[in-house]
Amino acid sequence: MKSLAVVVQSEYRRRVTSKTFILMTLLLPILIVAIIALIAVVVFASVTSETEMKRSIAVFDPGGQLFEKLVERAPDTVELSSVSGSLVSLKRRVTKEEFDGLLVLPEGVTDLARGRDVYLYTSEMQSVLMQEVVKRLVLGAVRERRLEAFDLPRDVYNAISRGVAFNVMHIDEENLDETGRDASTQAFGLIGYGMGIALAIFMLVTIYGGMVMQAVMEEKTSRMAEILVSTLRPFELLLGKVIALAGLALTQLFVWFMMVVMLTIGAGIVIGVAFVPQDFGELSGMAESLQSIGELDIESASLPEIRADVVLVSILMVAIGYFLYASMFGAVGAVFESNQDAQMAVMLPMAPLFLAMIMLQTIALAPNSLFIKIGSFVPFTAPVIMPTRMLLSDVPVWEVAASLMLSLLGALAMAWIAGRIFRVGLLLYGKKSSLREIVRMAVSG
Amino acid sequence: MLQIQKVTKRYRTTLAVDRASLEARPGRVLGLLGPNGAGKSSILRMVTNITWPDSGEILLDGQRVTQASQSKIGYMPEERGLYRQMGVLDQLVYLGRLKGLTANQARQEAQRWLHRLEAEDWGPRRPRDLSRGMQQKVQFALTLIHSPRLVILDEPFSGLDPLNAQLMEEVIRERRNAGDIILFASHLMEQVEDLCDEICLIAEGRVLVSGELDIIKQACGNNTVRIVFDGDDAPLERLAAEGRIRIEPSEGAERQVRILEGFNSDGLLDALRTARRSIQHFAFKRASLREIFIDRVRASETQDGHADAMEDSA
Repeated sequence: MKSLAVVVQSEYRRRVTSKTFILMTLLLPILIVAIIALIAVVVFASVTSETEMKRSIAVFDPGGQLFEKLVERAPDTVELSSVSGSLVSLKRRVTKEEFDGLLVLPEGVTDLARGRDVYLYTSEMQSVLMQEVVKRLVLGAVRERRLEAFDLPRDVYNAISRGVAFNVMHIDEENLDETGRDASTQAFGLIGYGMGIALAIFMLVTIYGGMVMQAVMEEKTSRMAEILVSTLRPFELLLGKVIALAGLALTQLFVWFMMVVMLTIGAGIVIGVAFVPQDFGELSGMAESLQSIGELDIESASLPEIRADVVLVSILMVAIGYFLYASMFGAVGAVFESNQDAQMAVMLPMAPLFLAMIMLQTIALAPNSLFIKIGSFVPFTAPVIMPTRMLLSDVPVWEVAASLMLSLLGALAMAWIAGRIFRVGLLLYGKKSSLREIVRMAVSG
Repeated sequence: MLQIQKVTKRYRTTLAVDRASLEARPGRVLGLLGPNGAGKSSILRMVTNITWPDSGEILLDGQRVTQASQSKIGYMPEERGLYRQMGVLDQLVYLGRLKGLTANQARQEAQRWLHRLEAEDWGPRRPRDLSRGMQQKVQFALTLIHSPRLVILDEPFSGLDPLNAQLMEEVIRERRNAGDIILFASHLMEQVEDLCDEICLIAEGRVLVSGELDIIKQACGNNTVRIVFDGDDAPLERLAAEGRIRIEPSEGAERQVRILEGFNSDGLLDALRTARRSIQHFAFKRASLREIFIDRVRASETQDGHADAMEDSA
């Protein structure tokens, strides 16, 4: 295993000092921050203009039941005017842009027995924000009219429409006197968490696993392979590359993290100086006005509680998942001799990762199904499924340990197989050999 | 000492090495000779622990060849190259360390070898800036950097200019005199003749002949005769027609005759005397390695069974 250390050291040093690496590491965060800043500025500018822009809406209310109420409730940005005439002539005025929209309220729109359809005619695509504002305006007005018909006080309506909080708590033997742990099935958050892990592995593998593949192919095309295999185990060679590139990934992430921290602080100072604070006040005012218009409840989308043990297992699993998939990339590099040939096969090793993502969709519906249970032990899917399962239900410690062990063994086995293929590849050099032949030779030696 | 004992290696359908046995001794250069596909590379790969024999044993200084033996072996394969993006010195140091040297030792040895191969200032250069011959010298240094007990060179001179080839030959002799075991595979007979103390002839995975080069040459060179005599070639042609000799191309007055099996030089002399030719010159030609090689390989191809008998006698 002394050779392993030499390989790791050499590969790491060679890459970390390469010009491409240094350039990428320094420029990428600057580029990303610049893009984010640009997007932020554009969004900020357009949303501000959208909320500030006045809209003129013509209201066709032949029954005269609602217009007053609408005017009463309308925000500053909506200018209402009552119109009459034939529908066709009114629509024409919209197309001639006399109004931004024509709101048609049918007679009996406030009827208690049945609802009537309300139409908003516009000549150009109106923003979602605008549509929502008008919709809530009309709904609110209709509701108020109906309440008045029953002569009910407003607090009664408020009391009836108030919701009831429904909580699912997880309890176990030890903490019966406490309320327990929040265990509401928040499917969205859970899938998101698992997806996050899958995505982290995917990113690591496509960038750094891809580099493992390149390095392996380079050794074949530069004819170093035979000298190397006569010097050390190909397993050590493969594993060394995978470890070295993991180190490279950590280095890069660390540098980026530090840069992002510094840039954020720097940018914060710049923004603080350049923008007058009231700009932000306007933005938050916008949300408030939206809320006040109707009963827009932005339900606080709370994520499930993330526990320390889950985070620890997740980090380990991302690392192991990277090892496993990067080794598979190494195997692909050992099979193929040119980039073009390998290109087509690159997605093959990724297939199990996509399978894990699909499994995530079912995890919220049936977290204890056999399918998910098996998936949390199979090395290819375990890195994604096990941490997600842990979030959902109490997984016995031995199961977590077994899953970690199996995944690690799977990763090592994959590096071993890749090494085996690398060795066999020597004997087949220059010959076009089928994948089947290579695999069979790798198995039989 | 390197001992290969009754080693057999089979790839799926082909028998690459068939019960091959040979020995290479310290302070000697053993030439492994054979046509393409004879099994030379297969044997070398087993000696270097890249592949393993199906049966038989390979011993280096009395111990079975394993992963651990690799640090005692320096192997220059026929398929050889260099990292394209790495400086020459870095490559030498990397390989040296993989072979078990410390970083400092590796650096010292790398410098020493670059100096010995008259390439002191190549250290920082990358292979793409070197000619093919220069790259080959770096590969040679790569093979020897850890002062291996066993040096294996597969077609070491291919594509090398005479000057550099001579330098490499010098180094090989140095290593031999220092007591290393040197195994040298080639199909270039002249170089083998120049450099080798012993040879081992391989065809179709089997050892046909092996032993001291001089002894083999003596033993194998006794069937070609150079004759100068007066008169026409009638007696020779008669013998050739009877299948006792073969007349080979020659220049001037000299005739070159190969005595075929079941006949001998006495018979040839008698035939010439009976035909009243006065003989001015009659001498055995010392066969070149090339002739022995071609002869033996042909013989093994035509008489498969006979090759085994020859192997035993050799």
